[in-house]
Amino acid sequence: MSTRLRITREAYSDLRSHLFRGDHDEHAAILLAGVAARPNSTRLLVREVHLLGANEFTPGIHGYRQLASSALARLGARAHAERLALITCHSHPGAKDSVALSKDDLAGHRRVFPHLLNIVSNGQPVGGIVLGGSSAGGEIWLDKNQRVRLDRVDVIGETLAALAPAPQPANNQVGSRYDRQARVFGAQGQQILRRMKVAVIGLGGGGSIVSEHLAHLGVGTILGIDFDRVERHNLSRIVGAVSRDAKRRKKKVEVAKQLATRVDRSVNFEAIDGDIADTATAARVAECDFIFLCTDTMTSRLIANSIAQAHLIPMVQIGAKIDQPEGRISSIYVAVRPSFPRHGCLACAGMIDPVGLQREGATDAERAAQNYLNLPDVIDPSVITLNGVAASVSTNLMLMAITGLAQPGNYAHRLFDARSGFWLTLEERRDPECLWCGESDRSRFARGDSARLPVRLDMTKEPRRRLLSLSRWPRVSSLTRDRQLN
Amino acid sequence: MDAINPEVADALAEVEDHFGRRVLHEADGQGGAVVTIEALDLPGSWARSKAPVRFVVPYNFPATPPYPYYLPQEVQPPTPWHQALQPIEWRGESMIQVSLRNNNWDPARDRILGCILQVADWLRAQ
Repeated sequence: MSTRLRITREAYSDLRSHLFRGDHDEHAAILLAGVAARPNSTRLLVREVHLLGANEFTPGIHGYRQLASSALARLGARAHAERLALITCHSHPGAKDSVALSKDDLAGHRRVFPHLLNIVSNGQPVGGIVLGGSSAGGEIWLDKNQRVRLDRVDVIGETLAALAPAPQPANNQVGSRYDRQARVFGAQGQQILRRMKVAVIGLGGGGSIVSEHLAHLGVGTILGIDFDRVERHNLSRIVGAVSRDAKRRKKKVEVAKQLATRVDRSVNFEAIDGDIADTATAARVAECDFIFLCTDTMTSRLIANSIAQAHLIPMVQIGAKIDQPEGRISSIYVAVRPSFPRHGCLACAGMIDPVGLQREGATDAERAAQNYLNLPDVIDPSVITLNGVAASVSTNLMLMAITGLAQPGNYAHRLFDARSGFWLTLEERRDPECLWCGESDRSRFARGDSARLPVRLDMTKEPRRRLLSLSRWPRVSSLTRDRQLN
Repeated sequence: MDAINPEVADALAEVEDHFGRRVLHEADGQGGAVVTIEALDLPGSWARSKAPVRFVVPYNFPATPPYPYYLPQEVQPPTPWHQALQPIEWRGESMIQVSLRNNNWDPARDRILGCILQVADWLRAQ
């Protein structure tokens, strides 16, 4: 069972500034967190940080200091109302790269947490963590009888960082396969890649190259998702696909799996022949450490963006676009849009079009009926070189973030003008009321499993019902008056 | 109410608060709902003075609003028909499609009732 706490870089900075003030004293805060629980793992996703003043972290009766019952009652009630876990947090200012809860801390948990579980009383855990200079440890009470050790705190920002209770055993052996790249980001960077699980949604022109890059980099697990089959017109772009695949109409996800495992047999490629719009597939994506969104639908943007914000998972969306009004090419560009928690939300950036969502949700017959201007279907042009730029830049962006090499600007949405070779970076837009990344109580941000994703119901579990009572108009004749008769 | 997503259920409650017992709905099988509001007013130039309006609240509401809306064919608008009205077959029935779309829908701020009242106002104004 792995237990991790995820927190944005901004929230972590606020927390650290409060806990480590240079006075060598202990200070405290309470974190309210969404929960993503899986059979073998629990992720706590920090949504709110409540910094406690000296009046709420007072000299203790049993130990050095204790949290005031008023703070626990106030924030326990909020955790209950918001269906969030409650995590107490304090500093051990003398600890550097190793830290642990003290005997007094643990005894305090045994006295207080049973009552705190009652206050929170929403089935969510409570816990206590302690931060050292560059370390974090703690314990989480999943319920009154089940306690687990906190394995890691993941700090999600332009660079990603992990804090553990103690330094990880050094392993400088990377092997000759990764020797050259490990000279860039070190053996530790290579180990981070090996531990990662990365989702690639869409394995067409862009996604197939991303997947291949990830395999070459040595990413431990690739979760590849695509429901589509290879067709002849795909062969100019899908890396790994050959004529025989088109003839046999092989699944794109199988082509990607074959290529990734040919690159490196030790890569664990989990193939999902499915759609991100389905509940079970979306739940699998929410288990990942990084997401590449390589499809061109509004529905997949909506769902992947929701997962990224609700589960604090960094994501990059890629695409290429060739505009040719009236048959003349006006622009050719590549888009790389990072959507990190609280940064680059695709909804805030206006990249999730409600009209497009509606069209994608309609049946073919409905779409035809709604196309009353008889506009022809447009087949978008596409070129592998554009996909390659998007795939390489986005994979590089992930690499810089996870190895700590990223510089400010890694969050920026960027467009590459393929005709001039210029890159354009876009100013970040944020809507505080955003339903996905915003700060209002309606926002799904960091709510984990309790943030319902905008996915279809799982019809394998919920058989489709026939519309019986509404199959005919209700009482039209009795409700309306025939004007010609009056 | 099972098989309907919570946000869709909230939207239905909002519509019911306004229209009361004139609202009928059923799960669409994906988490959304097919909704019928009975007896919206139509102007004198139509064959009927009132008509039910039907629409789908999609499973991913509020990311996208309902569109389009449907009327029974017997309400017969005046000719020539407004370009937002088209005769169609929808789920096995002959209907009139009302193609009124909220092009600037903001999921964080706009409400479903606003969409429906706009449709009701538009119908009254024809």
